[in-house]
Amino acid sequence: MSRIIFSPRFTATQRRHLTQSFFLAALMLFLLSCGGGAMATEAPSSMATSVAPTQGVVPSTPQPSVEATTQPAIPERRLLALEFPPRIRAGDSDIVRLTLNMDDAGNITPTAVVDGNVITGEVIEIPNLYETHHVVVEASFDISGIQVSPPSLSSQTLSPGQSVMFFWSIRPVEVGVYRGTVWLFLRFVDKVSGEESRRAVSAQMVEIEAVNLFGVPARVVRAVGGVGSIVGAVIGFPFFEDIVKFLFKKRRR
Amino acid sequence: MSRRVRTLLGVLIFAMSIALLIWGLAPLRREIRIQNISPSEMQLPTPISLRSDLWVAL
Repeated sequence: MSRIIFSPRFTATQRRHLTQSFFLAALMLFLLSCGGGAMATEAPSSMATSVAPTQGVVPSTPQPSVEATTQPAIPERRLLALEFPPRIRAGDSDIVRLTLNMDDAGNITPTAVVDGNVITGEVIEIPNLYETHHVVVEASFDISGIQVSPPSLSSQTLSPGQSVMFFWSIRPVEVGVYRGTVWLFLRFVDKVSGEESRRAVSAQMVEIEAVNLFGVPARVVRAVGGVGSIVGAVIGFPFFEDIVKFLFKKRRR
Repeated sequence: MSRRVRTLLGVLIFAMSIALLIWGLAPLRREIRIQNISPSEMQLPTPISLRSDLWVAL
């Protein structure tokens, strides 16, 4: 190459042209390299401009809701089911039941089984406080005029994947409409400091009507009904009288 | 005649007694309330929440 360039056969004009073309090629290479660099630097700038608006939008989203979801939480879902008799026979007893159900996977599934029918509700996450606190569920049934057992506050420890159930036995003595409240509290006991805090979760009004039949207590009504059905059968159905006589004779023998 | 009256009386007593037994032994209707508990209701009460309540009140 150098031998060709500096060959005595090349004239001065040819050498000048060769030099010019060389510089021209070098200039084009330089421009190309500058352009590619500019493109390379432009790409990040376009990315930056595309990212910038999203970064600007984030603070405009409601910040408190984000904080609320980042609160300590466990994947548990809970549902409160209250079961009670709105009407009860005076003198009879019945059960009031308050339940928190959970599923086998440790999630609380809002289910309640009533007469074979499964009632399912909405699932809701609750904060995970089991790691830092002992969670105690407390419940009470406050109603006047009806005998309630247990009459005071009942409490159970709430563990992950465990359901909690409260029962009250009620017995109205007299006829009337009785109104009461079923309370549910959560008591948090700090595992380290032992500090306690209590929170009322639910207060449900309950109305129970105690009835009887024309002033006759249910116990008496059942006794009269039992005796009357036997007497009525003996009087009304002659063959039934024969059956009764036959049975009594057989017993005597 | 007397036999017919007796049968009628017996059936009447029997029917009334069965009605009394049904009233006295029938299972009571039960009411079921399902209540969803929101996460905020199950959270640990903190002074921050109290302050926020105060701020809202103000």
